[in-house]
Amino acid sequence: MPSRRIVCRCEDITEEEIVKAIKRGYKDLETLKRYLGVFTGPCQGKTCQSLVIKILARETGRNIEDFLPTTERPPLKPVPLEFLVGAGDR
Amino acid sequence: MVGDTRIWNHPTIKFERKKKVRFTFDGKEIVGYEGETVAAALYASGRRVFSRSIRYHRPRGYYCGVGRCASCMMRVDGVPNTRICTLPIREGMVVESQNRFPSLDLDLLRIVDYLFPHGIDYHKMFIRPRFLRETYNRFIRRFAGIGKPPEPVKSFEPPEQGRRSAQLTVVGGGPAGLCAAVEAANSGVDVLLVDENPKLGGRLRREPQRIFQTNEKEEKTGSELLKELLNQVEKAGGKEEGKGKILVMLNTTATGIYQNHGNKTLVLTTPENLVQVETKTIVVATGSHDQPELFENNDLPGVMTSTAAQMLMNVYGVKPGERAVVLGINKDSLELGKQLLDAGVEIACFVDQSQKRVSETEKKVFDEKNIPFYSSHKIKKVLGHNQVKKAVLAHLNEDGSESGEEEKIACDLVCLALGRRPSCELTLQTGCKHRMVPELGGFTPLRDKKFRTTVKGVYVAGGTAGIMDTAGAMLSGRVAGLSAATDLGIGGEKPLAKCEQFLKQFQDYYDNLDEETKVGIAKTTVEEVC
Amino acid sequence: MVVVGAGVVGLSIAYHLCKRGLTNVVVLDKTHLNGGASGRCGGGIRAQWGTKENILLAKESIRFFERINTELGCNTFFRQGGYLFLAFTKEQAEQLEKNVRLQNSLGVKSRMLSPEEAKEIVPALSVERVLAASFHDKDGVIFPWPVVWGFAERVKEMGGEICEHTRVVGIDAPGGRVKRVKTDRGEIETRVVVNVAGPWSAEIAKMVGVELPITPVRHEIMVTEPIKPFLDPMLVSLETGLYLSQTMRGELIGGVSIPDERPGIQYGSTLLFLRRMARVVTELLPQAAKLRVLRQWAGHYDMTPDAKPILGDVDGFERFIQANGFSGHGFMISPAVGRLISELIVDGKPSMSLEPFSLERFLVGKVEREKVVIG
Repeated sequence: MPSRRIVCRCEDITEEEIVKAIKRGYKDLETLKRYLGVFTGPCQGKTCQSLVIKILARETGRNIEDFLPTTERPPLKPVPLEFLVGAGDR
Repeated sequence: MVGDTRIWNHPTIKFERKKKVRFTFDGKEIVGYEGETVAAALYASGRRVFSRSIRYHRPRGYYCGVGRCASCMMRVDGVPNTRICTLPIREGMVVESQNRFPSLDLDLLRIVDYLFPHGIDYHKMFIRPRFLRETYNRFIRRFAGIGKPPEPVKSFEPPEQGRRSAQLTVVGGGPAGLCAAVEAANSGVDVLLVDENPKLGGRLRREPQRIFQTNEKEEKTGSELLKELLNQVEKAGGKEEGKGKILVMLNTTATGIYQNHGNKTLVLTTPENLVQVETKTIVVATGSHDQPELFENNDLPGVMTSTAAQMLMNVYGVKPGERAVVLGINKDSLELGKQLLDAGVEIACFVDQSQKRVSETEKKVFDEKNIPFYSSHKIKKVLGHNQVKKAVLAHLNEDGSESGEEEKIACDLVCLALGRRPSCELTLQTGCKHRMVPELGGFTPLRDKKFRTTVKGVYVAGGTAGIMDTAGAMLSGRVAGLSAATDLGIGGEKPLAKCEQFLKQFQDYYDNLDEETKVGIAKTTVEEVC
Repeated sequence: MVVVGAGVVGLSIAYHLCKRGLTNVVVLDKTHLNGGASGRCGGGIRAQWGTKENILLAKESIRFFERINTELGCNTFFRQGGYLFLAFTKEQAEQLEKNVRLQNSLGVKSRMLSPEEAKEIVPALSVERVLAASFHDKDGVIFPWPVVWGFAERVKEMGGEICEHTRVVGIDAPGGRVKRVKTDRGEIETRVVVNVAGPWSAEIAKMVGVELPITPVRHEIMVTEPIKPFLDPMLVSLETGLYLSQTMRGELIGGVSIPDERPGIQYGSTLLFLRRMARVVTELLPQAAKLRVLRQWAGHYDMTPDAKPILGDVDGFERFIQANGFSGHGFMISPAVGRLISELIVDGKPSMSLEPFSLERFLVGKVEREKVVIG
């Protein structure tokens, strides 16, 4: 059974893939997010953000306190389209 | 029931199991009890694999327990991608697994996991030959996506939306939120208190038997403390003059905050509809998330957060496993250990990377059962086919490198109890300033000593403010609630005076904290915010 | 050469310059790659435009996108599922017919469809109020981020330089001759500056005293949770400005027009957008009612008065070249623009005249407005 250290459960991103992407030059949290797709899945980074930042800090030698969070946007939990249909959009 | 892993003889908690509810899962009938979630009922029936991961089709199970991760998504009554760990069962519900062929326990698409042992970089794949591009696209689309589209409908009736206005909305009905609501209401503020769970309590509901220290230096169990706070909530919603009302909305998630010319538009979702709240002020008391950990096969069913294990065994009365490895040696993990023992779960060992030593009194209950504490160890990997069967521990040298000594531990449950980080998604949405504070676990909102954030009208309390333990959380809640009341100009001098009182108590509490937490809290406290 | 702006157009220009052998190109960007509109857009690629210039630029670009994966060595998931335009009034239907005629005359094989034919392409579509539709099967959608990675990596491989987090603070052009670009991380001596700074192009142009009639306007966009294949083409409604497509990951992604949106740069999200989007999407696709919105975000269209880009040299300058004002369709014409600007720089004259895109056209006053701007 392939043994993997899964960082992003939503998009199935492993630590190995993250380290490879950082070595390719995607050293910014924002570009790393867009290259790999971490934080863009159904949980929007709630499960893995701290791990990704730890790995990025370790691989680039940066101080973990220098990191800024990625942009947090609504909705916090996914909302069905039909809930949003109603008076108030005109 | 045969094969049922429910807890029938818990030493301290009585689980209400009155009415049986029948639903189907992948065509098979499952019987649960009213009040249980689909995940709890399935777990009790012996199911451990809940979904397959999107690319490698690895088995995934119950992991966070609170609807945050996406490991338990299933198709429910024709609606894809439904998180079942927070969905209560209903008679006749049709639950189906997703994204697997032919079945959840045997998914042939797992072949992708074997074909790409070193990962997939989709940027470099399916490029040549060029003429096959659309064929590749058709192929990839079939395997992308999680659930199948919903059933076709000719039309639909959108559920009616709710609209409210509030002077203060408290998001989160745990100890911090409850205290904030009580203090604000007692000062005359009309409070809307929302919680995403079916009952108030937060961690007091999740750990009812745990003994908590209160502000008054008393010791109460979670359920006793919760009863007391709920009493205060009821009394605060009184008809006395000078008191405000507390309107409680349960099963309600605060999902978005939008700025609206000085007020805030808060979007709430219930299981049936959306409610839009125009609120002048908001106290965010949403608690904290569990910290994840990396080791090989950390995504196997059986690896779950301590919150998830507590939801299963303390709220729904389902045994999370037979034999557990608890990752983390700290105050919370020891309490978790006691709760696991109460639930009838054998504990194989406690594991922690650091060289922490535990005091004799804290260890006593575990020493009596010969449960070892492995400090300077980490979990290197877990093994198992569709579920954890063994954990491999690695001994660490002083510098953190592996010494080469390993030990295999038989277990079917690994609980992650490595600490928590503030749940700051809502505060980040408001745009208030945050700081990465490793001592408190992660990004924490900055706030002044009265728990105002850098955005006017937004306050924080409890875990969201980085104050993880209950006594501190309650005090911070009281200060935040009174802060909001004074800033709203309600109650005259009273809330201001009371606020100063609680601030003094908070200072006492702060002075008695351990060094690391003190540093963390100091990092988030600023002189002035607006 | 200095290219100000490492969005898809700036990188396309740098890529084409490097391919022509001019590798001493520096592309500057004040933020990280994919930080601007290129990283925020829905990835729609279409040739169904209403003016000759836009159609020709888009037509050539589609040919490039058909081979982009092998050209850049990066899978961009370009999928030609077509664009299905929907008309709900007689005027909109006539507009579509006029556009299709123009597109056909320029070699774009789009065609008009009846509502029933439209429903055959999208079975879940509710065609009750649809009067007419148009479809071009070579239009499609692409994943924007890998296009930027692909261009950037190739530019670097060929010897070009990309400097992220580098803000341009001044441009020295005494007597109209460009001499140097000043940034917050140092100065670059150069004779050629290409202004591809999207909504900030006007700010850059002011540094040499040039006025660009560019108005940045926020456009919001949202995405749902991923599901199995459900929607093949990109759906466009002329009534609401809706655009909606399904990504290769399975998410439905799209936006809708908010005509009251005030100009200016603001990245915040609004509830109004989500509500309007939900209403418009569920009217056309009732089956999508139970799908959940996962995230909403925003980017900007850099609008010009006629919704066509500003391309080419500026009179009186050696050489301050514009490639901005793309009004919401820069991504889909970036290959053609890259080639034309590189020809302008290397050969002195592009293979297609850039007269219709000159900055001076606004002074003359004769402009034909592009009507098919969506989102």
